[in-house]
Amino acid sequence: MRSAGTPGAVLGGAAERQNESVGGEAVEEEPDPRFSLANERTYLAWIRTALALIAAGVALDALAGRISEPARLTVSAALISVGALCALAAHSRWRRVQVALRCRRPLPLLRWSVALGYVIAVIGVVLIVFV
Amino acid sequence: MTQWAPSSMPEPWDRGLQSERTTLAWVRTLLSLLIADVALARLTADRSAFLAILMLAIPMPMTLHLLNALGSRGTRIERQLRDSLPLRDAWKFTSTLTWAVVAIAPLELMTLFVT
Repeated sequence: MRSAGTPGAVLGGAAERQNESVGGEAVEEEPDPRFSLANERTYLAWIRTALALIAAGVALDALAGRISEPARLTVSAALISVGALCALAAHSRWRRVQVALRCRRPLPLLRWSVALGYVIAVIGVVLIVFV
Repeated sequence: MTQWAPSSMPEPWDRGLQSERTTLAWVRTLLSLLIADVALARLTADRSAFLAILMLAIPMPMTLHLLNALGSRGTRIERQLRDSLPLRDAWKFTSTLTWAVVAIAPLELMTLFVT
């Protein structure tokens, strides 16, 4: 059963709202709305990053005439694929963070952002070598 | 050094601004998607008109639907915040947006390798 308490009375006050089981034991809590909305904005920032990666892949293929065709195709395909994966991963992370907020668990670690940095660095090196 | 405010202090935030910032982030993202979709379709049209039309036909309606629903969602969130009601998860919004972005990728990959 869901009960709405007094949210925002203190920092994190909305977390006081609790969903209680029949026995009265707290199993899940309504997160502070600020955290939910911040999670949503972070998801949107990742989606914009994914969109930028896809657009970079297409722009590279369409506009970079000086790069050899195999290199151009490979890098473009890599950027587009990474963009799509980034969008899927962003959605999965948004969901996991939302669950963690509701259950008052620590937020899950973000491992793939490091991998994304490496992938973009490798793509940059490939471009430098082949231009 | 910045310190967190003690919990006994009155609430330092305006709930309406949170909702406004989130709505603006949605608008920025959907606008980016809309512009990117048109630009990518234009670039694809030189190679395959069919794929360019598909690129407009699949993500564009999703984006326009989200833009249309965004106004009423912003108002609803603001009302829920002001009335201290729990927020509903943005599951439908995030799923639709994710698939609108992901749908572009296979079409672009087809453009790269098929044409």
